[in-house]
Amino acid sequence: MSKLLLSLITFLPLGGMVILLCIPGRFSAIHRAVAVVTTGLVFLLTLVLAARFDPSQITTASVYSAYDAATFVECAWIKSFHIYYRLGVDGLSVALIVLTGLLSFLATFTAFSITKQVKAFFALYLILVTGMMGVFTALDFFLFYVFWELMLLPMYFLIGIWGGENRAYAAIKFFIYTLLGSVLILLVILAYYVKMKSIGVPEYAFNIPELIARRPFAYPGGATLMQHLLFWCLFIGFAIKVPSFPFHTWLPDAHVEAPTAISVILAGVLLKMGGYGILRLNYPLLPEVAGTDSVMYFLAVLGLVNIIYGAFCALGQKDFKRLVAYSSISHMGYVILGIAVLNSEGVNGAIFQMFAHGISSAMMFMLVGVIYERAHHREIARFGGLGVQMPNYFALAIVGFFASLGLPAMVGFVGEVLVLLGSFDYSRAITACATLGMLLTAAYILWTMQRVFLGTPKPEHQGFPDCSAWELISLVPLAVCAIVFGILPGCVLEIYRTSSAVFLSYF
Amino acid sequence: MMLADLLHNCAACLSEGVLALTIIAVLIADMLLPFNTSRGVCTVLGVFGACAALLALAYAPPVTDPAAPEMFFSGVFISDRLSLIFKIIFYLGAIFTLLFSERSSELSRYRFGEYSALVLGAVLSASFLASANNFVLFLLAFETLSLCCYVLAAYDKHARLPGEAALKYLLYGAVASSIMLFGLSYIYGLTQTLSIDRSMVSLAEQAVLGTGTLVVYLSMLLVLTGIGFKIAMFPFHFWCPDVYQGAPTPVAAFLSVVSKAAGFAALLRLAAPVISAPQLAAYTSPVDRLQAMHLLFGLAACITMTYGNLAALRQTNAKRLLAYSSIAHAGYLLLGLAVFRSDAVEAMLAYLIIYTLMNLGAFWVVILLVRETGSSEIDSFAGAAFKSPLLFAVLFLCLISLTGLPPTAGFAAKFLLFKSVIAAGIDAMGGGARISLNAAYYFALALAGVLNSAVSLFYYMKFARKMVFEKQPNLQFACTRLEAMYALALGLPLLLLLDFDPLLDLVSGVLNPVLPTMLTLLK
Repeated sequence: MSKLLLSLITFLPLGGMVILLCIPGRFSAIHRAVAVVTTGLVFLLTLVLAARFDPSQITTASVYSAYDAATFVECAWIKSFHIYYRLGVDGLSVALIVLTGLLSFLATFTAFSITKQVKAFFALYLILVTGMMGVFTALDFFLFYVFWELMLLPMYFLIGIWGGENRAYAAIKFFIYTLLGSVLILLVILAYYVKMKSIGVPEYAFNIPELIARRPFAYPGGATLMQHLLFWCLFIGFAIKVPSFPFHTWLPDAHVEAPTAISVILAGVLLKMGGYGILRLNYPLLPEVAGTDSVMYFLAVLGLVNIIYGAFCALGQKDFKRLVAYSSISHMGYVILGIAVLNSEGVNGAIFQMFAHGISSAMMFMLVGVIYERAHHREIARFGGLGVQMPNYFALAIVGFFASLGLPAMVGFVGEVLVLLGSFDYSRAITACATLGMLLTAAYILWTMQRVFLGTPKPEHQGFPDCSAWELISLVPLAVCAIVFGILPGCVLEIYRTSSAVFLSYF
Repeated sequence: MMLADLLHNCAACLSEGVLALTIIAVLIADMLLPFNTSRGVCTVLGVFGACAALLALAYAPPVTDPAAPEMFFSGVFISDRLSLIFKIIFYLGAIFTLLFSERSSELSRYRFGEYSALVLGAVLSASFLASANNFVLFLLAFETLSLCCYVLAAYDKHARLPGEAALKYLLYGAVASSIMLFGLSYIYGLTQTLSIDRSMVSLAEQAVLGTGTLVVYLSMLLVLTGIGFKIAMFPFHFWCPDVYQGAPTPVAAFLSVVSKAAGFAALLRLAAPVISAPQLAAYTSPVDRLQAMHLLFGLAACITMTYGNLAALRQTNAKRLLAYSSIAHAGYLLLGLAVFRSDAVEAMLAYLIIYTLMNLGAFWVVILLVRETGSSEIDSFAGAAFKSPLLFAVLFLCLISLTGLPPTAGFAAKFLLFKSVIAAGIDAMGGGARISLNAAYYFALALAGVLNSAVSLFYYMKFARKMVFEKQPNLQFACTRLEAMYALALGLPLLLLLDFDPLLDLVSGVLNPVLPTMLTLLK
């Protein structure tokens, strides 16, 4: 059973999609039910995975000991190229898999408001879930790439068909940006294959654990130009997904045009894939480059630029959803900063920040979705006094916004503080500037709350109903998570603590 | 003995024989039957003939030693892995072209006897081209193929555009062919033999040793002009969009697949002896020999794919768009020749097989769309996806396959091709840490290739954008069950071939064709 667990998590959504396709298009209630049940089952399975996962087993003892042995599966797929169906997890992936399971389950409720082509929506949505789970479970470079790209196809249609006014533009922009990044990753995959073949171990050519252990491009005497090429190809590929300045411009468009459920997945899970790729592949494969002083400094500054730039952009937004989108850029900057400084606090903080941002940004997008359903516009200036009209909504919004702001005892706080602790060790100047970023975050969040929820109620928003049951189902669990993991961050930290130690042992 | 010898020789071109007989049968049937019945009968006869030719390939002599393929008819006709793969592509192309044509609205007014005969004739000459080891046969096959294509392009003779397209095609083609003939005359003069394998190796030797004059390079360039025209390589591609747009859509599909593959067959027929020649390998390391060749093909590949992709970005007509896309694909394929090694040739063959399937699939849906909407402008396809989700799914599959995205075979094709380019680069580094100029050149080529594929996504997705994201309530778009079957026959392999093991077995020669036991008995 445990050997099947990862495959089940990955392919159960695809199975659900097949069932969904067999049901005629007019029964949209059944389609919704199938999607809920499938993602619900997947979420349960991810919880089982997390419960059975034993972090203390993760050690640096051997090549494969960094991964959970009980769930590791491997079987031959494309024999002439030694490509394997190889799935395995460590603490980092478990944390992100649970997050993906949770968000994809909750986002289905958010998607209930969709009435156009319901069957197609959920079919594509389930393919998307398979793609996301596959990225987090694959330990074969080729398989990883297949899942990485598989995710793009449904996303293109999900934004393009069910999105807002400018959806076609946003969809193709998202698609092309991400594809440009992933073809660079493809080049690296090919280079590793050829190199492994030429040094006589083609059987490990796509084996991520072996590639990390063997470092085929390493030569004594520091990072070579070739390693720099490979590193930056991978980094740009993943940075587009994160997204990092200057490759971030797809994000505001895609997030704003996408329907709420998809914005939730985009912000909650897809951005984490960039961070995951950096932690799983980019840094461990080429530690010589990542550990170079100039590279560390450059990336730390890049993270800082993201934090500040994203926050300033968010301050200037008039559109509620665009503001949340830019806040994502700012928050993901902490992830880059935390990884770049390469110390225990930084890396642990970066991973926690990914988890926390997954919860807080998903919640923010859901909150924006709720108000958009009622007002059919997102202009912050036109809102006001909503706190009086929708008290439950206001309460949830406070949790979501404060979690994003990084208020102590909320998820956002833990990640940011750990990252800043890590970066303080590395460079005081950068940390000082990053703290300024926190101030800016507080400024745009509080200012937005003031404009939307406080003040006198506007007549045009008179009679808005408070959150519906479906909306509460998707929002309340996230609010609970935002508080619980803020007070008890150890539950999450404990899962990946050993894995981040393994990660740091590469440098 | 004489009889056995003759039979042995004839067995090598059994499939060509089958095709020739089919052409005669089709022409006779067309003469005897009335208009309505003859269409169906001629199509069925033609398709059966092509299928029989495909089966007859199984009886071709087995390739025992890939380095020294068996020759027939005193060294004029060659039967090896290369010719076998190309013949499979040609026959598949013929089968689907005939099936498509019968369903197309653009050809519904015309008799099918001559049409089928022309398609099969083009395929027959293409398959001789793939097997030619003598410049005379090579040229004859090349010219016959071109002639058939010129006529096919103008087959819709009552419309204005096809005539114009065909005239353009003819003028360009005639000039290109004559330039090639001129080049061939130089080659004959330089090497004193008409046999392609000996001639090309000797030419390459002159180039590598520096004993030849500038004429050596000039002759190669002149020959490349003729072939470059066929494969629509920059700067000989100008005919391509106009002809594809003007010609009936099934003919455009035929040109983009069979005619282009025939061009590559000609190119590889000339290049293969040089790539596998043992005496050339002795001079310098395999990567370094024939620097000029690598540079020329690499440059041609880069410019061709970039030009094709950039020009396609602005197209609004489906046929023109696919024409530019086919130019871009010629560019990707030329990367294999920039590497100029046997693994790259294998990758090119695998790419061509997959290209055949995906391009035919895309054209098939466009043929149906043109039939139903009466226009080949992409704008008129708005909302078509909702009328026939299946056809849209197949089109989308073909398009992402053309882009090279997993989980489709197009990704496998690009993976293999770019792998061979990167491999040339890594090998050029020779295990050292320093990136040599050669290695950097190959890395740059690979980078150009992948970036181009990313750019191509934009115009392929134009179809999806119109067909799904926009609505057009009064559009009628439907297909019969048979037509859906054609689409699935082309679309499904694209999903299955992501596991490229069977494909690699085919192109690298692990699978041997069935041994004709009958012939051994006769001997």
